[in-house]
Amino acid sequence: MSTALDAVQLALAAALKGDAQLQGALGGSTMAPKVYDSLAPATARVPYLVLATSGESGLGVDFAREGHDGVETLRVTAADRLAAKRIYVHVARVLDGVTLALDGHRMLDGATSWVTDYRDPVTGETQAVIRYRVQTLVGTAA
Amino acid sequence: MKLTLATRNAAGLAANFYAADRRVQRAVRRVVERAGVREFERARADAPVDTGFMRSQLRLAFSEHGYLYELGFDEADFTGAGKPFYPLYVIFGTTKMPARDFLFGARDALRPAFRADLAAELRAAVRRRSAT
Repeated sequence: MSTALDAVQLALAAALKGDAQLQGALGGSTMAPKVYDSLAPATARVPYLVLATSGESGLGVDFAREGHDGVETLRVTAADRLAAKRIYVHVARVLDGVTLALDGHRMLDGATSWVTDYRDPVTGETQAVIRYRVQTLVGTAA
Repeated sequence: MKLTLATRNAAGLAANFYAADRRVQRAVRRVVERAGVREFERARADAPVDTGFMRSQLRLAFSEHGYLYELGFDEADFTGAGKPFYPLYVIFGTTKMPARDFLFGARDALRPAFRADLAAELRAAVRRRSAT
């Protein structure tokens, strides 16, 4: 069985890559999604999404069962703040209140929040930071 | 207390519900102080070091009553030294550099222990009230 962190990462990437509207907004497609792990390739053109960092704590979210609190940090790279906000609207639609199917774990809740944005020091493009907080229980039984 | 990029822990404000219970207020202040120091030490240890300037600018600030704290960076410390506010780039990444989140990561890792300590103090306060 995969860890909660692995399970969430896989399901998150699949959800983002598989959403046609989001990929359309990024200028990609579900066949050639513009979602990258850690660092975009040098050939990537804005806008795109990067799965930046992941973290979890072993907090029991349900006193009777073992669970996890996880945080995934996503980064939108876009021409400007407005363009990044447009992408965020799609990310929030794909993830907020949506129960992802996880391998070996059951998702309780998940929500995104816009953390901050800044200009990339090299390219001048906007980097927008989104946090996706997700709570899971170990096992798939309801 | 207003850092530019910071984690903020306000859970200790729960002590305000026990304004008449000085014992619980003292205990919560101790829990908050311990958590802040632990988070600071964890973030400092995990911070990547090139010149050491960024790590040296990590700030831990407690509120006047000691029930909440902020851990992070003040942009003025960087602009004052003629540097860009680059903790943003390190923590969240850039087009050329992957993210290395030593700040929010420290908070996420230590928050369960803080919650457990705080809950234990508040449960003890409730028990004391029930017994009187």
